[in-house]
Amino acid sequence: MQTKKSAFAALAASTALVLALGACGSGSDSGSGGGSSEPVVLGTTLPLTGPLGIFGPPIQAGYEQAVAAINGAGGVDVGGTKRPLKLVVKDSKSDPTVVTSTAKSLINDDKAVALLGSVTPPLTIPFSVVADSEQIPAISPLTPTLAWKGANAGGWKYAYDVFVDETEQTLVNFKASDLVETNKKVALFTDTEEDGKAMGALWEQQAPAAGYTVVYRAEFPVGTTDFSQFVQKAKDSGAEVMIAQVIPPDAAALWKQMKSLGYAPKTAWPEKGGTVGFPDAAGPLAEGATVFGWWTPTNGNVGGQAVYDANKAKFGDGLGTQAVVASYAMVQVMADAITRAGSTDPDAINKALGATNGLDTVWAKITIGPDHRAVVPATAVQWQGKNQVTVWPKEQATGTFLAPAPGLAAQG
Amino acid sequence: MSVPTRRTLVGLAGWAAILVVLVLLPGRVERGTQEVLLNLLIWVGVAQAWNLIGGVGGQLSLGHSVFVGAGGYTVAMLVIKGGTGWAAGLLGGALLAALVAWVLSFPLLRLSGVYFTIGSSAVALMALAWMVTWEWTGESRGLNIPLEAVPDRAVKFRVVAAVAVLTCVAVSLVVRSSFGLRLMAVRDDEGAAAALGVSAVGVKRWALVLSAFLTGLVGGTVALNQVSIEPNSMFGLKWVVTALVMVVIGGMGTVWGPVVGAFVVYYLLDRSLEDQPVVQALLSGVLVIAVIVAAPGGVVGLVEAAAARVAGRRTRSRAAGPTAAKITSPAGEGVTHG
Amino acid sequence: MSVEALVNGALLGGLYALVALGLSLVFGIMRVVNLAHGIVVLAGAYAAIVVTRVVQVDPLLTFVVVGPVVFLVAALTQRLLLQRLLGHSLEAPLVATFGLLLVGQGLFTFGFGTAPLSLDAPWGRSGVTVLGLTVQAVNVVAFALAVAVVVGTQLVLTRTRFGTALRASAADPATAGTLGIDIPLMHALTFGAAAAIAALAGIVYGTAFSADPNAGLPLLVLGFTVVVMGGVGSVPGTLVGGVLVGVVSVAVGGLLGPVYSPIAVNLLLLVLLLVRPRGIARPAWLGPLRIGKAPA
Repeated sequence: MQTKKSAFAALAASTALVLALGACGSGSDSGSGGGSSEPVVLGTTLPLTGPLGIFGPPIQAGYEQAVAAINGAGGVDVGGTKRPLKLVVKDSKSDPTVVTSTAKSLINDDKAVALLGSVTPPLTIPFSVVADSEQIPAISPLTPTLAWKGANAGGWKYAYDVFVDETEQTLVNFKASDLVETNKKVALFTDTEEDGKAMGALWEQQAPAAGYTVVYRAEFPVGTTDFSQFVQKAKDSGAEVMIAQVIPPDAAALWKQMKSLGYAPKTAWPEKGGTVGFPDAAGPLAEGATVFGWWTPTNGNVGGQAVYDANKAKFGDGLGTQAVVASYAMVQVMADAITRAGSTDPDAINKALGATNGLDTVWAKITIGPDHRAVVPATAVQWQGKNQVTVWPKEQATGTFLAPAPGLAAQG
Repeated sequence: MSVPTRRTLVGLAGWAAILVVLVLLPGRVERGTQEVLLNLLIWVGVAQAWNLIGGVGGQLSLGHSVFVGAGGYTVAMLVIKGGTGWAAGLLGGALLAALVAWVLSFPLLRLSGVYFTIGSSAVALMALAWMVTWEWTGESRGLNIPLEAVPDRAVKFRVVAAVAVLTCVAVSLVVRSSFGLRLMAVRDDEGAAAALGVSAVGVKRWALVLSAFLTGLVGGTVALNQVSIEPNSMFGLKWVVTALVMVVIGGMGTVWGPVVGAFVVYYLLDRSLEDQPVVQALLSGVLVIAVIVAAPGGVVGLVEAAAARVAGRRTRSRAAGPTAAKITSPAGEGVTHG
Repeated sequence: MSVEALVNGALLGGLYALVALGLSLVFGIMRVVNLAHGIVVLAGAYAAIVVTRVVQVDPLLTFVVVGPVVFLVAALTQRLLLQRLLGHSLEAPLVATFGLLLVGQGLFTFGFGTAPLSLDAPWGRSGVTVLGLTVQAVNVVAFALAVAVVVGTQLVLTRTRFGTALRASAADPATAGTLGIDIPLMHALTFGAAAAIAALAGIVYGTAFSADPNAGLPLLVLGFTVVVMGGVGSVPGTLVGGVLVGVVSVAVGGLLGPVYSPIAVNLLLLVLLLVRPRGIARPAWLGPLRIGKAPA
């Protein structure tokens, strides 16, 4: 008797569960046909929380402002009718598996006709996989393009990536260091994450041609807090150019230990660990730390300065705001593709997106290549106070390169 | 300890019916609904498999992310480098996870209580640290399964549904078996169980191996769903930590607890509050605390207590304190029915 | 790997010991594994950051305010929440403190964002040279504090009436209760003191490294490791365990490369658990521990 009751309860519960889920999923049922004045839905899944949570808000701001600007001008032209854009934002919690589920949800539940991406290969690769498997066009800013390309040997079909090329980006450290006098000896501190490994190899590879010698390299697991014996070795190696590719908390610890042990290289690069908020993490030692950037007022962009200035107060004069600009441009590229496609059919948008050629955006002039990448030139920016000043290329510089890095230099 | 055959058959029929409903779903519901259900079923699988050792067996393992990762990586490696199909890959992943668990059980099961928990977390952290540096499995880059090698949406859903139902069937069979009774006896009082001739380590070992087999199977489906995998997402503590929360909220050691817990945590908390990530984190913490303070038997415990109250005196002797049953110990009524 | 590196690692072990001491005390006296311990360490760092934003003082001085506040909050949490779970089983307090971990992580994310923040002090960014060895000043400070706190705690436990009562309530709560010792009060004071020590560790940690909301779990694992290595519940053992972790990390990092440090530390932890599940130095006064079952 008890058995029947429990079996029945089991069935009832599971049915209720299925029904409840069904009810929640079946809301709107509109297709993506053209001709109407319904909003065109763009979806994005961003790291608003979790370890990459600092990157979510500026990207979201860029997407929202671009959508507002386009809607303010009447919307996006789809086959002769102006339709408003609608942006749907979901939190990926900096977790690749959540990226996958939220990206699918954007397509299935929110009926997004195209997707906008976020940062770093671990998040952007699964995001791009969803785009390819669901056959919905997707474009990402701020994800190094070679690593992204390398993750899909067969070539991406619906996913696109606009950012720097790592080969050029790793040369920036040397070219910018050429601006000051050093002994051209390099110490590398890289972590075991994908970009740490890949870029570490590129720095080693490219140093000789750029006239530099890597005299010391150490590899660290993420979460390393005690770097002291390796700092000592780097100091003993006499390297005057120091490049690190470790996450922000590790970079803060590394900088403090360099200062404590009196290692004061002429140029010091915390790279991904020093992108945003480095002075909060490393205090006064952040002064003079240099990392790569991706936008300058004079890099050939159209209208970038206005977007930059409008966000400077909130995201700081530096890479946070450069991320806003880059994200803003993704909406421009997508809107342009939708207009050229003349419909919101994902395949038509995908085709038009792939044909993007010489489009003027707030970020730079953007041309998408046959490998679905658009490469934006890398720059070098240096922490000076609470701001990041562009110091290389020289003709686009907004300030002078301080060397040796003042935060690490010995006092008095 | 006789196994009530008829009751078991009825239970199995119930699960079969659920499976049939799930298998028929693709194409009959919206894609979005299907995706939500797919993720929910993955979580049911992970939570239920953990429940076997953590709830029924009372061994709070923090090492289960190793089995999720082993299952997922094996599928990817077999498909990419071995050229096998995904189905063989799934089985291979589950077997490898079980083998890993069997090997690990020798050192880990010498530890009990909190020491087991700490030891298992050390194993998980070592595995993660190792996977990040292992060149053969793509180091921190991880692996990318070619899209054409993964099953299509409908097949993938059916596979995940079958795996999730399998974990539930496994647990419901175990709690009714004499093996399950021995396992719970060991959980409740290892000394007394040993005095009655139960080999505590042996029972725990097979529970761990079975739990790992099922976890590996689910991990394999995670990889097929994810397509591109890397160490932090497959070997991260997230899996076991979330499973633990789900099982606690649903009801530890019960068959329906993990199902209910997965629904509450994944659907009600994660999805409904996805635009309020901070509220979500706070709420899941508060909920966990509230459950453990006010209803240590979880949602299922609450329901059983209510049912027992309705049923009244007739079953009083059996239903005595079902709420506290899961936590304070006695054999866990409501699942075993002796 | 040089002598200098090993000395630096050993000194840094002082910080590890500070992180672990509270965990060990709570475990030894209350038999509770506080999964929120890492969050308490972070709470110390964040609280100090807030104080230094208001008044610019040395981070260590903020302990005058931070210590009592954290003590009070923790003692209340213990009294109002955890105490009622103690009679149950192993997993009840474990799960509850896990809930506290989630809540803390959420609160810190909300209040401070996910980017790392750190405390700045001259001793956090300078080195000292003793006998020709250059080591970080922050490690010297951490070690000195650890020795002071460990010795102080040990003296309180062994030389005061309060300590005697505490030890009694740990060894045999039932008998201690009948002798008139207010066990819930003992537990609340222990939990508060453990949290205050954790907060002190957090201030040093935030000055040496940085604080971010996701560091709670790694700090907890670090604490665990030290506790197990030094012997659960043993106060001097935490110092031994901390130094051991510091030296092993440095030695393995220097010999094989830093990538192998965490693997080696976890492996050592596992091996120690197996061969000496009670740690290296376990005090006799704790009596036999049966952690699987809490005493009634």
